[in-house]
Amino acid sequence: MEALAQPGVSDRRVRERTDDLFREHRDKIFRRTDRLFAGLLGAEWLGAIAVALLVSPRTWAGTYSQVHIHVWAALALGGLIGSFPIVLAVIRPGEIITRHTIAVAQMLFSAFLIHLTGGRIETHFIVFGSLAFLAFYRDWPVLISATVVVAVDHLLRGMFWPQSVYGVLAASVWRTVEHAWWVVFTDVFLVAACLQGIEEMRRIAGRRAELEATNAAVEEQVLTRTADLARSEERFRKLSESSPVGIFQTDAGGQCLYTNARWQALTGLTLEESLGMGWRRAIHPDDRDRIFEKLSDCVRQGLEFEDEYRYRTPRGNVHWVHTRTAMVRDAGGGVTERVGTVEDITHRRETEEALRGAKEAAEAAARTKSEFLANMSHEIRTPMNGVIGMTGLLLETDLSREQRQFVDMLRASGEALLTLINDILDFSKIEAGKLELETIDFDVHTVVEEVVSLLAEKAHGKKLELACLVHHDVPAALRGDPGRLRQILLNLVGNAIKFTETGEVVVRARLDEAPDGAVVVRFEVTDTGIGIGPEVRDRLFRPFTQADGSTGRKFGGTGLGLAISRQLVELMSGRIGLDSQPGRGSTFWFTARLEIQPEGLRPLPKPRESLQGLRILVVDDNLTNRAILTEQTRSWKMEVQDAADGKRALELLRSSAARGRRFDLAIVDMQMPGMDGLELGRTIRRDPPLAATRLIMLTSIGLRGHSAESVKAGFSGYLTKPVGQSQLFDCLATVMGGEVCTAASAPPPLVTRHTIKEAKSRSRVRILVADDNETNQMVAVQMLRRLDCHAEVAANGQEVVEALKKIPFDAVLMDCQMPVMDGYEATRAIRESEATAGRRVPIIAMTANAMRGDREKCLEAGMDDYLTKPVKVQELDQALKRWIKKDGTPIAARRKIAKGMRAQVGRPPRVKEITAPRAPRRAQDHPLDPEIFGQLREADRAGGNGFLAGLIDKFMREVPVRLASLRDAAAAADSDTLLKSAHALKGSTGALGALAMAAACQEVEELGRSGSVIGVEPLLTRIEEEFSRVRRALDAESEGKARRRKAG
Amino acid sequence: MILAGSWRSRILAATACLWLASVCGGMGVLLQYASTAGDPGEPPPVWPADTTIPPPNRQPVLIMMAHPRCPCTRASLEELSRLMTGLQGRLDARVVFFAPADAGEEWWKSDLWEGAAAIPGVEVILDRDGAESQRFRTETSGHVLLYDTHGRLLFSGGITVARGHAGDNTGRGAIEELIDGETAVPRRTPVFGCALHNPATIAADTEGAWKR
Repeated sequence: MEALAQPGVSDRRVRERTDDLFREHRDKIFRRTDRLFAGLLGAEWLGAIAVALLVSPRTWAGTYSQVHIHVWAALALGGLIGSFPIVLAVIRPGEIITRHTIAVAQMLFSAFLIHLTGGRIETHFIVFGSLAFLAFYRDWPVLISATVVVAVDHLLRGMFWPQSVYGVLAASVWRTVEHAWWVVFTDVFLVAACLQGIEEMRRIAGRRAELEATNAAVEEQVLTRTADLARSEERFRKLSESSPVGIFQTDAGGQCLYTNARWQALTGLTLEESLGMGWRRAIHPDDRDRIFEKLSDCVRQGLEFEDEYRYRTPRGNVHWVHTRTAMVRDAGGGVTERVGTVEDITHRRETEEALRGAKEAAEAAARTKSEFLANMSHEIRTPMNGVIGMTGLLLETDLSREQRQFVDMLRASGEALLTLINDILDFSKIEAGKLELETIDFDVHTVVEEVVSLLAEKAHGKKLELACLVHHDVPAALRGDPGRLRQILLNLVGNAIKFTETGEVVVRARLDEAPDGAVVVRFEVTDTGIGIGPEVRDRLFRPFTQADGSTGRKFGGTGLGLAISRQLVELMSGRIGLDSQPGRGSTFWFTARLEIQPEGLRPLPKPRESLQGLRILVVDDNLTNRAILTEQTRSWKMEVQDAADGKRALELLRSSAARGRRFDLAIVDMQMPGMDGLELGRTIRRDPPLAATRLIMLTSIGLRGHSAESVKAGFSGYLTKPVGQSQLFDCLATVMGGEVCTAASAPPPLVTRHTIKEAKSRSRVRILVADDNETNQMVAVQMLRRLDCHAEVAANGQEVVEALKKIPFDAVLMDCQMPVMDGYEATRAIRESEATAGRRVPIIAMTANAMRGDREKCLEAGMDDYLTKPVKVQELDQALKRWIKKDGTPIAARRKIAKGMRAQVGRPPRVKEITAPRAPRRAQDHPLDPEIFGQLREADRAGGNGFLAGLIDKFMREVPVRLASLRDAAAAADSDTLLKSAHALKGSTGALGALAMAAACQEVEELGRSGSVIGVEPLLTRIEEEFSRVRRALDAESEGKARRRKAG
Repeated sequence: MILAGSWRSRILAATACLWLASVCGGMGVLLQYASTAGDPGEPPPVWPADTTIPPPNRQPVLIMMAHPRCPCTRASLEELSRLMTGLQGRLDARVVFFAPADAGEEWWKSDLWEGAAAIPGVEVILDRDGAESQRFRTETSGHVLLYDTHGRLLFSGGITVARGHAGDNTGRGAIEELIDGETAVPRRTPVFGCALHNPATIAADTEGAWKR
């Protein structure tokens, strides 16, 4: 590492090492070549002897011979030449003197051998061969030594015995040059080869030195890393051994290689026992199959393993553990090992078990309670049905005024209690998981409009605009639970009105999604109320929760509404939410998935006008319900019999049919002991003599699918308790107006309270009331509701003209004197626009004016009829019947009547004679006209919405303001203000039935119209006196009401 | 140690010098031996009449006296081969091998005999008991005599530079030029080779070395 980090030091070391290696190598070559030449010289010596013996063993003289001198020379001289260098090669190998001696010896031997072979030219090659051999030293000076020997030899021979070299005594210089040239030529190449060899040796030495240096560095690094690794392993081993978590290591096949102390403590196995497959013994026998299978899968599929299971020690201790493994992979991605951790979760499991047990116990208790509450639905509704039904019947009897008030209170309280109970029961059902939705056909437009209509009074009471808009892309004919949808909307819109002081509340419905065969409709209720902060939004939809603690006290309510709504929305596969800014209003929204009716809206049969003479059987196990139904149907002059159970009902049906007096209708309770309503219906349908009897199902628990089952069982009507009297009548009349539901025919649309409402809503006449006086507006609207008309109001003529452009009202009740645009001008504008539109809306003047000429003025302006305030219900009803039919008169018919009326301008036969305001018939007895005030009471009872109280309250606040205005006008001699204030006050007082006060107001009005204020003072005093009387009477009325409420 | 090393080096150097000198001396002795010529004899200037060797006919005749076992004669035969090759048939050659009178073929039919017989244009003649060599008065193996077609002696001497040493030499060059018609050439050269005849006397110091 250090060497690698310091290049300069490294280079120097490498150079030094290179030199060492080079020297070492060269020395080795020198020594090796020395040995080689030692051998060679020895061989040459032997060769020389052999040559001598072979070529010239003896010299001859005739027949005599002796050993040739060459043999002795080979032995002696050859030995002399070879021995010294051989000795040097042995005792001084690698030294310079040795190799130079060898070079000289080798060249001498060459010369000697040449001589022995007789100077054969071939043997001269030994000289070049020797030089080549000497090049083995890779030491060019050696070649020089050898060459010097050759040169000296040639020189000496040339000098002393030239013929031995050149064959002649006087050789040419060029021959010497030629000889020298060949030797030099050879030497040049050999020297070059030596230098190259040396260079290569140095290069090899350099590479080897570098390699050694690298190896040394790598080795040092390896040593360092190995030490680091050892330290790291030691550290992790210690961590592992002290870890509170069990740790193990296996090979890829699951053979255990290591376990730590904690693992051994958990399993009770030693390391040796856990190795290999020994670890398997630790797993609890009950978990083994599952865990082994999962482990096998993980190994086979190369997955991580994670699970919770048990270890059992040899002593029987059981530990719950959570084991997780991770795979160790090689460079190729193959799994080489698995390491795992084992966490002891025994305590957690025990805690979870305890918690689960506690939770289950709590849930069971809650479920039992909720089931109890849910089952109470039937038990509670049945008597409530009795209470409300009986009060309804009681109201039909001849009661004193006080008694009627008591009964009214009773009914209102019963209905309030029923609403409360419904909320609680709904919530209980939700908690018990028993709340299910109906699936019946309905018109979503009607539901929205009905909700707005129901709450319009409340909104108008707070001077709030309440509007609804159902987008055209929302189909009308849907299938779902309209009751629950209405419930959600009522809750949201009711809340919006409750928490909005000024501004408006708007209900919108639009298409959100359109999956196959269904739609998701988004409903939005937007208000300009107090808004809701983000901190409370989340808990709004929780039960028993409101925006804050004071809300309940200030605004009332159980706090269940939104929680129930949320549950209902979720049951409709929707979502509910809220967008709001405190102080700027809120938008509550929800979505609902509703099916589309495949065959579109199916009209209900036309209801029968009368039920008189029809035979009806009431089947209910509850005596009270039977009594109510019996009484109600009997009041419609129906022939009624009752049965307490299905068996008795069948007996009655069959016996009557046998006598030829078949029952036309049967009202069947759903929940009955023994045979329930559905079974009874099916039995009746299967019995041919009874098959013509129409069936109506009456149930106190609407459950999902019940209506569909009822249709299948042959029921034509389906009502939920408690059933209002008019609702029951409508249902019976509609069912009797249609076909009998048989198995063979396609089932007619089921008559439910929703379909009845929808049908009635669709056929309801829509009237626009135009009056600037709010009291008069309220009275008119309430009266129209009593006449089953839908009423909307406009405060002046301009609003009337605008409203008619948007909505095709069936008729207009037009006050003549209004600010901005009076009734005459408005009528003329309407008639002008109708000339091009091709339709004519009946306009009925409704004015307190009693002046002659008013009639002509009305007709000239284009009005069709004329009513004098205070208007009575009967008069209004007759007027409306003159101009429109109850189910909505066709435009052509209305136009025809209108044309007829126009022809009679100047003397319209249907316009009543103008009369002075009626004087109070018993003015001295009571300041309020009993007939008019009685009508208001009636309307109040029918509406059940606090109408009269609101009217009185409004009156009591308005009159002092008007009186002050009159006084001021009188003091200022302002006849115009006198006229307007007196007119307004006259309208309010007349509407309430304070006719004496209204008459006084009219006198003031006429005085004002004359432009004089003379004599107004006594009139004002009279008005004030009358107001005192009226106030006392109204106070008495309110006190009586309060007493009755307190008593109730 | 340095001193010891220095001494060792000196001794070594001295030894080396001594060794070199000895070798050079030895080599000198050998050279001396090699360059010592044999007896030149007195060859007759004309073709002897008593010889059995066929005289020259249409072209000159070269006579080489040879001892069949003389190692030095191998070089002479090599030179003869070169000569015959170079002259391309313009010369007739007779190699006359000495053989004792009673010697069998194994004595005289040596590799030299075979080698001489293989040279084109060369006739090998056995000279029992050295009769022919005596007629031509030659004493040394390798002695070459050249007679023209008239039987006149043109050249006498050896055709090697030393004993047993082949290679360019004055004798061969002279013969080639004589055949080519040159006259200004050496007519006598030393002869290197073994003696053809038994020595007349054997020196006492060498008596033990010679064997018969």
